[in-house]
Amino acid sequence: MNNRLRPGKWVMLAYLLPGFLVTVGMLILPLLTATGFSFCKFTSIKNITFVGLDNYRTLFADKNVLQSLENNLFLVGVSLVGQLGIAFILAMILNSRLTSLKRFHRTVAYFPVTLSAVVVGYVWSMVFDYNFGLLGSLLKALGCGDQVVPWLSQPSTVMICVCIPLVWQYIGFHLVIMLSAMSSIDKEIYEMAELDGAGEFRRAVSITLPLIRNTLMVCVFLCISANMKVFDHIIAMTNGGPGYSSSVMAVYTYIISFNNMNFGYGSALSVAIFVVTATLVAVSQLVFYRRKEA
Amino acid sequence: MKRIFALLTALVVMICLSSVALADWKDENITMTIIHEHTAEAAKTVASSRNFLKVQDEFSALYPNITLDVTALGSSEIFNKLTILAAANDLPDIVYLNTKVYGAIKDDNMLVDLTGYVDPANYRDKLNTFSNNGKINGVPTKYTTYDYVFYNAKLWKEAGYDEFPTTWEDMLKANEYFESKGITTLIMGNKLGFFITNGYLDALMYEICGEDWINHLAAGDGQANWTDDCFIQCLNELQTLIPLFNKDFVTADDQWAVAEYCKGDAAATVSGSWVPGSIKSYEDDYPGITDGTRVAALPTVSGKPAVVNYAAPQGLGVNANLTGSKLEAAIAFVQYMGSKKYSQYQAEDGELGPVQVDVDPTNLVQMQVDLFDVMNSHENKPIVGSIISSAESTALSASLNSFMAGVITAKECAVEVQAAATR
Repeated sequence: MNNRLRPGKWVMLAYLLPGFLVTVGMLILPLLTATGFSFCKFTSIKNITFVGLDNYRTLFADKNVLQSLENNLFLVGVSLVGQLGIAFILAMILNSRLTSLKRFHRTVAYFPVTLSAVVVGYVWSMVFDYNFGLLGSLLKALGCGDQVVPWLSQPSTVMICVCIPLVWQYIGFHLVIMLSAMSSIDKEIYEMAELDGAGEFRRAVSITLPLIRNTLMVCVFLCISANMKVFDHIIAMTNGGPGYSSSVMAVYTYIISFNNMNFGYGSALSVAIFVVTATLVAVSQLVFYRRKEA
Repeated sequence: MKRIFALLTALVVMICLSSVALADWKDENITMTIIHEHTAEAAKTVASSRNFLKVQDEFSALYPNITLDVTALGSSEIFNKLTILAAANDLPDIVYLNTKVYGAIKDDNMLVDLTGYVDPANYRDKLNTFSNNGKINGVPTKYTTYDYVFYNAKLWKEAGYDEFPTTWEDMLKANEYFESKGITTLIMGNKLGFFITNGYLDALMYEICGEDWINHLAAGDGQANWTDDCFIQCLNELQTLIPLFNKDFVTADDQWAVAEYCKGDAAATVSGSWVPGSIKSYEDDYPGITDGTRVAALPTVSGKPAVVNYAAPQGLGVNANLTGSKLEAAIAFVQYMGSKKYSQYQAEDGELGPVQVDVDPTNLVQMQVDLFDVMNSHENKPIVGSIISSAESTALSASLNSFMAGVITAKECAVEVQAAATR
């Protein structure tokens, strides 16, 4: 940049200051405070004792933590396939020149994203309700009444039920991101491939996927971090139950911190969520960049 | 003579000064803050909220110099908010309490000792709920009893029972009849997590393990543990009752359960002293349900009379940071809210209040008369959840759900709760 146009050092610092303060106040400080509290035990709300690594020892021995983490990873896995997979297919369809009413379809697909997670959770818990749920009524109408079970009350089915609204709600979010990436691909590349005899599937795999790779990676990061801190859907649908069958790390942390008033252990759990999420994102980034270099 | 005159003068001056000091809070303009859960919206349908606001308004009318700065949040989240305010030493002047919040702050001297200002003898819970180390820190503003069976007398008569069964064995026999008719014997909604514990497990614990064992467990003195055989037996007994319940009892809503009972899809439901009001509200939809409902004590394993469990789940305390006339005004407010008035209004609505009041039975429907009979003729004991720690209580609810869903065994359930107790 031309030095005469470049703002002075103090002006630039002033521009950076609000963002810096927000990051420090909203992210760094709470994280440091939580890390500090994770080494303490709250004998009451104002009496704090340093207990070293006790909370972390408890964390590793607590099988509910493992159950919650497994549920988180299950949600991440299902969402990566469900949200990103379906969003990619829909984006391909919407990007096709054969599709009409593109804007309408895009708006409809995006609409669930605008809904509150609590509303989505309650609506879907009504769909799965054992007594008057939509799914049960549908099965009864089809003569499969014996297949109706209390899905949300059974540990074997509850996680599948919890996944469905999560996938449904966020397809539109990734769809819009992927569509914007796809629209930036030069149409001539597709035309050339078509002339060379490449079909729809071949073009999707060999042209679209590699060219929107960076955007896909952003979607993967967003999907991982969103599903590692998922909370509202679970609280609205199952409250983490039955028992801890549908509990995730954020729900378990909330239960420990606010229901059990164990803020020290709750802080240790928060730190664990941060570490696991950061690790997952780092690993996926590593995999992505290694492949890119290769 | 001079000495006597001086003494008399001093006495008169002291009396004048003290009367001025006493009269201060009634004359000064004082603003007091309070956060509670009784919204105007809730008051339309919930008697306890309606009566709380009624007494609060009466206080305001009586002392117009006192302005109540009320924040009413109709959600249990207010207790998380209060906990955070306590951590920041920023509690409101009047502190709305539940047992969880009280448990977190009781050792921090954040509440005024109300000993001498309120008489424990007047209260059903003897003011034990919000007392610690001999200090009374709060006055209950709610009183609830559990372990009542609300049953459809006509359905049970058709099943061959003129009186409600007194043992679980008889209940399981009756279940065969109701099952053949496609009716749920005991409908339950345990979504909130405490209906299995307060409604069934507590009664089994008092029957099988005994009150001493429960008190040792609550005291955490090591003389009783969740892994003891008697508790495992309670869990096993509880598991035998599963056929009596609706299949989705783990996630079903308690209000839905009452509605299904009123609809005639269930022969009975086990719940607390607030349920008559709910049943009455369904009278227009299901005519005859109010008069057709009777109340019995919970059956037991041995056939001995069951206990009736109680809790004083909410109360009011005074912020210990207050001084002078504001402190006096806050104490006066708590005394007023905890007086007979609120309980009297509750009784007029056929509901319980924390203070023992005379109930006019002519205003009550049969199920309310039954309920008071059961309450007065059975031993009243505190619910276990109100005397154990929050961690144990939460772990018990969650582990019990896992156990009832068949995910874990009775022993594993007991081990999980014991782990929470020692964590």
